[in-house]
Amino acid sequence: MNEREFGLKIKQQLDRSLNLEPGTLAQLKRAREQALTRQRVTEPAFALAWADAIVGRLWGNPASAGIALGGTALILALAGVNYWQHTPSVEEIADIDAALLSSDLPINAYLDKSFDTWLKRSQP
Amino acid sequence: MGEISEDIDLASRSELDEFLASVERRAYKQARFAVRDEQAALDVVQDSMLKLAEKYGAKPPAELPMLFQRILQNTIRDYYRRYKVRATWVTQLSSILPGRAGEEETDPLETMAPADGSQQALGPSDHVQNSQLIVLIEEELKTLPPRQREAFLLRYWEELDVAETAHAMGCSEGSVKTHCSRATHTLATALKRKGITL
Repeated sequence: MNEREFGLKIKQQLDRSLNLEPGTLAQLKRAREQALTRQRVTEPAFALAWADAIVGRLWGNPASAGIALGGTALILALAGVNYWQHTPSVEEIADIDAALLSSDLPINAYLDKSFDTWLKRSQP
Repeated sequence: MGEISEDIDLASRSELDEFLASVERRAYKQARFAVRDEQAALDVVQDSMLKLAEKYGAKPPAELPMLFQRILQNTIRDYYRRYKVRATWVTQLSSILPGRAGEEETDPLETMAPADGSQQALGPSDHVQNSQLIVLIEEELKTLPPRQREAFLLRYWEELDVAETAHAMGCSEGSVKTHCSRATHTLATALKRKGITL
């Protein structure tokens, strides 16, 4: 007897086991009727299927939801540190402004392209 | 965001009712084999029906069997995960609480597996089975590894082909063939050991 024949024999036996108790059948019927009351009757034209799938999975799984929340918090924390490190502080900006205003060089010199070129060439 | 309402190809309420009625018993038995608890199996089937109706109730009737099987298998897997998480917490708390420290740690899957030949998994519905053979087959199915049982039942009881089974299980077709082959071998050997020939 090959695998398929064996599978079909088992199927025949299992099909005979479907005479369930009336109480179980009643509960299945109730479950079916409840499901039917919530049937979606139209297909949405646009749907964020991936978002729906992710939210659906997280909603039913507290462990995954915890991991997702932890991951989100970590990403936000890293983004915050990155922002803090790469944003000049008020004191640094004030120092640059003070240096510019107090230097002997007129402010307009910084807007002069020739001065900019000279500055680049004069750098070692 | 607009919605289309091509009701011609979509499952009507009566079609969904008919479909669910046609699969509910097998779905219950499948869940029962997997979770080994009557009420938990009913909950699994109810959750699966609700998910199908809420999310895919407007799909064409031809797509419903595949979608339902996928949802059912995922719901069973979610049950396993919740069971394992709950058992882990219980174990952790038991080790903290006084008076429980001496107790042996238990693996949730071990506690779920019935001992060979025991009557543990027999519930009220099993008593109405008038065939000892069916009971024996069901007992052997319960002792199969979950993925093997899943593949075997989807292929031969639900009559899905290899590709459909792979899609429902979320694995490759090769894995389905392997699981089915191993399940067949294990079942055949177990039944033969008990002197049963089909």
